[in-house]
Amino acid sequence: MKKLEDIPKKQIFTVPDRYFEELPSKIQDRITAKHQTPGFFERFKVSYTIALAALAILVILIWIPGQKKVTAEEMLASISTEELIAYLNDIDISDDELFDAIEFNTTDVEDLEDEVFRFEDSDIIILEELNDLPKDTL
Amino acid sequence: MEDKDLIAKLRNPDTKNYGFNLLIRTYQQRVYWHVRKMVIDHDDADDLTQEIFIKVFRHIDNFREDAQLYTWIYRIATNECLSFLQRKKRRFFLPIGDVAEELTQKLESASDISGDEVQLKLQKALLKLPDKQRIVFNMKYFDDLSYEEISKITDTSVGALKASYHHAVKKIEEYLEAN
Repeated sequence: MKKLEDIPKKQIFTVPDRYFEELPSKIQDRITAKHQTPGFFERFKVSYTIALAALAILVILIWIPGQKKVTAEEMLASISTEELIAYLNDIDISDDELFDAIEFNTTDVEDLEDEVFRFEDSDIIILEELNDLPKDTL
Repeated sequence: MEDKDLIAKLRNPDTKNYGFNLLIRTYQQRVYWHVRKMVIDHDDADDLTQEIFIKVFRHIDNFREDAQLYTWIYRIATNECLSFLQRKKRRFFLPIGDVAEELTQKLESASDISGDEVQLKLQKALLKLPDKQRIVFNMKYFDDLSYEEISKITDTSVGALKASYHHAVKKIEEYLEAN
């Protein structure tokens, strides 16, 4: 079997005359040429900067108005209770009209009932005293 | 000139061009022959060699000096060769065999290749190897690099390189015997 170690190592490839003398300057010339020729982005820097600025302005003009809208509830929540009461007292609206306008849910009703029928200790004493009074007194 | 002096010249804007000229003259032959053995054709090797040195020029500031300069340059050269051969296969949708066949034909027809029959047969045997195995073989057999040096260039373990080389030798010898 032919062994690799039996084959002498030889360079079979050749190069043109003076190739290695001229190669350094060929490479240097290519590097200089790359530096001098502006790249794609360099050439169009001003144009695309203006385009980007215009796009940014457009985005801001469309985006800002499209920002989160404030809901009626959020607006009301920002007004103090005293201001609301003062307003309601000022406007010409009856209690019946007011209650018609309010949409109570079950929780609201229960909360209101608790508020109306909450007794403090002093109230209980007064009630008991009232019960002791003769019927025809009230 | 020592590596550190050359690198210092390359990193100084005032001496960069001079330093780069020195670098090319120091390493051009090693780089060129490393590439030529892989791509066979002189024009391809010439293009690639220039690209390699342009990359070295552009990235010299990224060179971390944790290896020798020539190891770093060799690594760039190795990667460029392998990328070139990969692109060649993809461009023409050629399987490995067809690119090897094309390179073999260049071996036989090129006027700038002069070798006796045995030498040409050896080169044809090398073209049967996968590209990575071939480049490792070239660095070991023709360039006399140590396994440790090749390991740094290819980022492959010494053990894997030894196995790859010995397997390559076996395949080459089988080819020479059969042809």
